Amino acid sequence: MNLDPKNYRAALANTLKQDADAGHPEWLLPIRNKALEQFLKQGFPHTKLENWRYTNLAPMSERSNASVAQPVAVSDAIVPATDSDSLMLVFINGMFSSHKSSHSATLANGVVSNMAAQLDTDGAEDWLRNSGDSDLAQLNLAMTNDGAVVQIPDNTELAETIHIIFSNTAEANVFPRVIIQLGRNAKATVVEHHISNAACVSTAITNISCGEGSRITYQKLQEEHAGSFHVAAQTIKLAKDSHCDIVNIDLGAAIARNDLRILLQGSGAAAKVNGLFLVDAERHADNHLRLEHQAPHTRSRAQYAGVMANKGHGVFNGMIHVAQTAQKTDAALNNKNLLLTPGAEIDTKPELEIYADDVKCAHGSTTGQLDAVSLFYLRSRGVPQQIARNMLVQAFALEVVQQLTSKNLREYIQNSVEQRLNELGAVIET
Amino acid sequence: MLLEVKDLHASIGGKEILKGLSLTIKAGEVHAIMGPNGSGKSTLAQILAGREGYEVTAGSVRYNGVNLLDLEPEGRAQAGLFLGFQYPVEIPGVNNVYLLKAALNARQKAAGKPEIDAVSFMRLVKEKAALMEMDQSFLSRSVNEGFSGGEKKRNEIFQMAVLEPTLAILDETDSGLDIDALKVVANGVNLQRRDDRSVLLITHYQRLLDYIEPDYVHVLANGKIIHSGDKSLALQLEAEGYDALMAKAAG
Ligand SMILES: Nc1ncnc2c1ncn2[C@@H]1O[C@H](COP(=O)(O)OP(=O)(O)O)[C@@H](O)[C@H]1O
Ligand SMILES: [Mg+2]
Repeated sequence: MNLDPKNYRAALANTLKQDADAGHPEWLLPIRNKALEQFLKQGFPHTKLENWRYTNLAPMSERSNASVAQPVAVSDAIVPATDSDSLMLVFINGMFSSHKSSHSATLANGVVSNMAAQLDTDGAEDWLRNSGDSDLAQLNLAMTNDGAVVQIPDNTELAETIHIIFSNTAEANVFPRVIIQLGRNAKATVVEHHISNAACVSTAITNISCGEGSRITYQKLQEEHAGSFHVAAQTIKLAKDSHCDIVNIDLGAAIARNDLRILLQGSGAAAKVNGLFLVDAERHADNHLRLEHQAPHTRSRAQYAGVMANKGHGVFNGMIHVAQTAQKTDAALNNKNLLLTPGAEIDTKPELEIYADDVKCAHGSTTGQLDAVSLFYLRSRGVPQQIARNMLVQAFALEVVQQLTSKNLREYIQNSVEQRLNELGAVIET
Repeated sequence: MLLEVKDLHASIGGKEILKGLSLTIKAGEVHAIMGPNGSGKSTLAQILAGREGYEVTAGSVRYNGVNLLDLEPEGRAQAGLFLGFQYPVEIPGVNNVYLLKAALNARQKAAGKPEIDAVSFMRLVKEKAALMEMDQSFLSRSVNEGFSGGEKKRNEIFQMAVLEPTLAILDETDSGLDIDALKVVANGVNLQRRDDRSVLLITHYQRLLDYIEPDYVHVLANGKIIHSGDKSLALQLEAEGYDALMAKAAG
C-alpha cells in the first residue's frame, strides 16, 4: 500500500504543536507518538484481509497529505435540524465551535462537553487511550483534535437529547472522537451526526460503556459530501442488565465504512440495532456489525436495510458471536436489500459463530427488487411509476428512519432520503 | 360508448385465459360479470387496469375513444378508470392519505389543473371516509396494513369515492364480507352511481346484486361471455347454477 509515513509524521507534529499551544497535558505526547508508530507499522488495511475484501482504502491514504483540520470561519458549515431543547455540540472541521453549539459546560450532574476541555480531568488518559481495536483506532488516537465526552453518573437520567454534529467544510483530514460513559442505571440519548459540504477524509472513533442497568439510545447519522471518505468504528460495552438501542444511517460519502461492535458482557444485557444504507451513484458503503455475546441470558436484535442503485456497491457483514459461557443467548440478525437498477451490487454475509450449546440464534439476508404487485397497486390509483417507486423505497427506508426518537430529525432524514431518490429518479429505468 | 371490448384474447405464461371476450358499457350503466372460479374474471379486470405480464394476442379495448391498451396503468387511472382489487395489497410505510393525495394530484396534473390544496383535500377525504363509515384513524395508517378483509374492501370503495372514477371495475368487492359490511360497501357504491359513471361489478355470488342493482348481467365461463341478460339472469343462475348454463352454451 502506498502510504507515505512522512505525511503522517508531519501531520502529527502539527497536532502536537496544537496540543502544546492549547496547554494539553503532557501524557498526550508519548501516547500519540506510540499510536502513530503502531499505525504506520500496520498501515491501512488492505483488500487481502478478509474483513476488508470489498473495501479499498488505498485512495484514502493517497489523500493523507490533505491538510489536517484547521480552525476556519464557521459561517458556511451545515448544521442540521435539531430539537430546540437538545444539548448540541458542534465540531467544524474537527474543531469545537462554541459559537454553533448550544451547550459547552459541565452539567450540574455529569459531563456533556467537548473533549479538548476535558483532557486535564481525572481518567482522561484512560478514556482517550482506550480507543478500541478497530483498524484505524491508532490513527485516530494519534491525530484526534477534538470530539465529545458524555459522562452520566449513576442513577441519572438525561432528559435532553445530546446531538453531536461533526460538520466539515474543507477537503481536510478529520479525526472525530466520541466517548460516552453511563453509570449504573443511567439513561441518555445521543445522536452522532456527520455531515460535510466538501470532500473530507473522516476517521471517526466512538467508545461507549454502559454501567449496570443503564440505557443508551445511540443514533449515528452519516451524510458526508459525495467525494468524502468516512471510516468509522464504534465499540459498545454493555454491563449486566444494560440495554442499547442503536440506529445507524449511512447516506453519504464516496467510500463509507462502518464497524459497529457490541459486547454484551453482563447477563441480562440487550442490544437492538437498526441500520440503513443508501448507496447510489458510484458510492461504496460497507457496514460491519459484530454482536459478541459474552454472558448468559443476553439478547440481541439487529436489522439492516440496504438500498442500492446505479453503480452503488453495498456490503453488509454481520456476525453473531456467542461465547461458551453465554448460555441462553437469544440473538437474531437480518439484512434485507433492494437493488433498484441492474448495475447496483450488494455483497451480504450474515454469520454465526456459536460456542455455547443452549442458545437461540437466527440470521438471514434477502435481496430483491421492488414488489411488482405493490407497484401496480399504486400506479392503478394514478400515481406515476417513478413516484410510486420512490414511495416504496421510502417505505422500505422508513422502517429504520422511524426508529429515530426526535421528530425533527426523523423528518430531516426522511427529506434527505426523498431528495436522494428524486435525484435518482432520472436515471432509474424500469 | 365508454368501454368497448372486442374479441379479446389474452394469455399468461403461454396459457390462454381470455378466449374472445366482448363487452360494451355505456355511460352510467352498471354491468355485472358473474362466473365460476378460474373463468378469467380477475384476468379481465387486471388487463383493463394495465397489469403487466399478460399478453393480449387478439382483439381490442377502446375506452372513451382511445386504445386503452396503449396507456400505462397510471394513464388509465388518470383517464378515470378505477380497479377495486379482489385482493387489496398491503403496503407498509405508505400512508393511505398520502397515496390518495399523490393520486389526485397526478390526475390534476394530467388534466392540466393545479394541485388540490391541503385544506380542501382533507375535507374531501374526511367526508368520503364518513360516507364509508370508516374511522378517521384509518386515514393515517399504512395502505391496508393490518386491515381485516372487510376493512380492505371498504378502503377500496373509499378510494373510489375520493378518486371519483368514470369507470369503476370492482373485482369481488363482496367476497369475505359479512352482511353488515356488505351493506356498507354496497351503499357506498350506490351513493356513487351517476349518469356519467359506469360500474363493472365482478362477483361470484348473486348476493351482492340484491344490494347493487345492475342494468345488465353477463356470465363469463372459460374465457368468454356465454350469456347476457338483465338482472333476472342472476336469479336464474342462483337457482340453476353455472353448470346448466355452461352445458347449454356448449350444446
Ligand atoms: N399468473 C398466472 N399464471 C398462470 N396462470 C394464471 C395466472 N393468474 C391466473 N391464472 C389462471 O388463469 C385462470 C383465470 O384466473 P382468474 O382470472 O383469477 O379467475 P377468476 O377471477 O374468474 O376466478 C385460472 O385458471 C388461473 O389459474
Ligand atoms: Mg378473481
